[in-house]
Amino acid sequence: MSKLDPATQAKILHKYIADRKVLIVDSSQVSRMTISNIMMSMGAKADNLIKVGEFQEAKEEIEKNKPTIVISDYDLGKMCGLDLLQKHRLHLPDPKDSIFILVTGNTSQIAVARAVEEDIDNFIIKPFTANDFKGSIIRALLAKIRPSEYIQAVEKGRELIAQNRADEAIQVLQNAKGMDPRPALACYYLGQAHFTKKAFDAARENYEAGLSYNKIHYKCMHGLYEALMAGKQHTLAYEVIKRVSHYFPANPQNLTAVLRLAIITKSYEDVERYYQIFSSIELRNEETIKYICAALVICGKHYIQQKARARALELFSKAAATASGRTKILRDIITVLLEFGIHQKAQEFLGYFPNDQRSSPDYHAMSLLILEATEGSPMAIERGRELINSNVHDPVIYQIMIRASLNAQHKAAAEDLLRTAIQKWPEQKNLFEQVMQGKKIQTVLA
Amino acid sequence: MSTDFESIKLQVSMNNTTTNTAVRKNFTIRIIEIPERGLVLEVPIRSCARGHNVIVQIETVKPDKVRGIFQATAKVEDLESASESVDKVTLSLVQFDEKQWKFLCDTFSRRQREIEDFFFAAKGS
Repeated sequence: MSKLDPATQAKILHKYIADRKVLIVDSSQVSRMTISNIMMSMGAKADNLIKVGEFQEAKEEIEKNKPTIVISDYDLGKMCGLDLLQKHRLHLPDPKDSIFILVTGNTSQIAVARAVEEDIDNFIIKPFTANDFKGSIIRALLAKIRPSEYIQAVEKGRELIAQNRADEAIQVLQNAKGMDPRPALACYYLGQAHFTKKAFDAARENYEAGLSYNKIHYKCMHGLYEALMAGKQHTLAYEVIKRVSHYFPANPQNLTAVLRLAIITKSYEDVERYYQIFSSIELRNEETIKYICAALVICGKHYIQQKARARALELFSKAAATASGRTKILRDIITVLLEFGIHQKAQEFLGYFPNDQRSSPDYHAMSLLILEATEGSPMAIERGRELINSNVHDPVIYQIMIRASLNAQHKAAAEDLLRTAIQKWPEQKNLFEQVMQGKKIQTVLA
Repeated sequence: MSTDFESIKLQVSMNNTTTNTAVRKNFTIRIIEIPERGLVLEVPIRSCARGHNVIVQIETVKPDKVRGIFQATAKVEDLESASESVDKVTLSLVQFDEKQWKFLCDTFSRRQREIEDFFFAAKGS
C-alpha cells in the first residue's frame, strides 16, 4: 500500500467515497444508521447510500444500482452475507472497482475463514467503535485505490495468467517478488502460472516458497494441495489439506477433500475428528453429508476388520444418524454388517429407515438380504418371489434371488432371473453374471 | 489457530433507574455497537423505554486475565425491536470515567486488530 500522509489519504478517500454508491445490508436499523453515519462522515453522499435489511432486497439493489461498496452483515436470516458476494462480482467483475466488507458479530473462525477464502476486502467485528470502523474501511479502500507497485505487478501477472500468457506472467511475477520482502502472493501466482503449464513441481516449489514467507497464506496452501493432487502425491497432499482444514475448518470443499484423502491414505483415525468438525459446520451441503457418511462407513468396515467391533458400530450409528434417511448409506452399513456375519446389528440398522421409506425397494432389498443371511435360501426365495410379483424391483433383490435359486438347484429359474435383471439394469450385467457364476461379491462402498 | 476469536470475556449488567428494575440475571446482554460516547445493547423486551435513565456496568476479562470494569449512567435514546424477546437500545453515556471508557474501547479495538491481522495474513500479499 502506498504511504500517504493522513491529510492526502483523507482527501483521496473522501473523493473516492463521494462518487460512489454504497450498499449497507443489516437486519438492524440501528446498525444501518450507525454505519451510514460513519460513511457520511467519510464523505459518502446521503443519496448514494442504500440501506436494506434483507438478503433479497440487497440482491435487487446490487442488480439495479451496482454499488461499488457493499457493507454487509454475515448473518442475514437464512442467508449469509457472503452469498451476496458472487452477485456483486457478477455485476462489477473488475476487482479494482468493487469493495465488499463484512461487518458482523459472528467472530467464529468459520466466519473469518470463509471471508478469507472468498477474498473479500475486510472483516469488521461488532461491537465496533467508529474509529475502528473507519480504520478498517480505509485499509480496504486504500488497498484498492492506491495499490503498491508490488500489488500492481502481481495484479498484472494475474491478468496475464487469465489471458493464458503464462510465460509473460512468470517474468512479471518474478520481478514482483523483488518488490516486497514477503512476496507470498507473487509466489502464489507464480505457482498458478506454472500450474497452467502443467509444471506441477515448479508450481509446488513456488507455493512452498510463498508459505515460507507466510505459513497461513490461504491461496498458497490451497495451491500446494492442488499441485500435489495433480502429481498424485496423496500423502503429502493430505498433510497440506489437513493444515488448510485446521485454519479454515468449515469450508465444505476443504472437508470433502480432507475426507477423501483420509480414506485414500488409510488415515482412519482422523475421520472421527473430521466428523467433529462436520458437526460444528453451519452450512452443510449434500456432497459433504454424503462424504462424511461414506467415510464413517468405510472406517467402520476397517475397524470390523481390525476386530474393533464396538468402535465400528459407533461409527455406523453416527453415519446412520447423519444420513437422516439417505438410504444409500443405510444399505452400505447393512451390507457391511452382513458381510461380517453381524446379523442382529444389521437388523437393528434396518430400523433407521424412515417410516415413509419402509415400503420402498431399498428397504425391501435390505430386509431380504437380512432374511437370506438369517433364514437361508428357501425363505429368501419365497419372500423374493412375493416382492417381484408385487412389482418391487431392486438389483439386490435379483442378486439374492439368483443366488438363492442356484443354491436350491433351480438353475433355469436363476437364468430367467438373470435375463430379467440384465434387462432392467444393463449397467450391472457383469455383477449379475458373477453372481450366476457363484462368485462372492465384495461390498463396494461409495 | 483452531479456536474462535472470543478472546474477551464480557459481563454486562443494566439497571433501569427510572423504573427501579434490573435486567434479569439469566439474560446475556450483548454489546452490539460502540458509537461515540454511547452503547448499543441487546436487552430483554420491556427493560426500558426512550428517555429512561439506566446504569450500565461492563466487566471485561482479557486473555491475559486482566480485568476491566466500566460503569456509566446513560440515557435511552432509541429503542428498536429486534425479536419477540429482545430489544436493541441505543444509550448515550451521561456520566462515566474516561479512563475506564478508553480501556473498554481499546479492548475491542485490539480484538478487531487481532482478527484483521489474521484475515490479512491469511489473504496474504
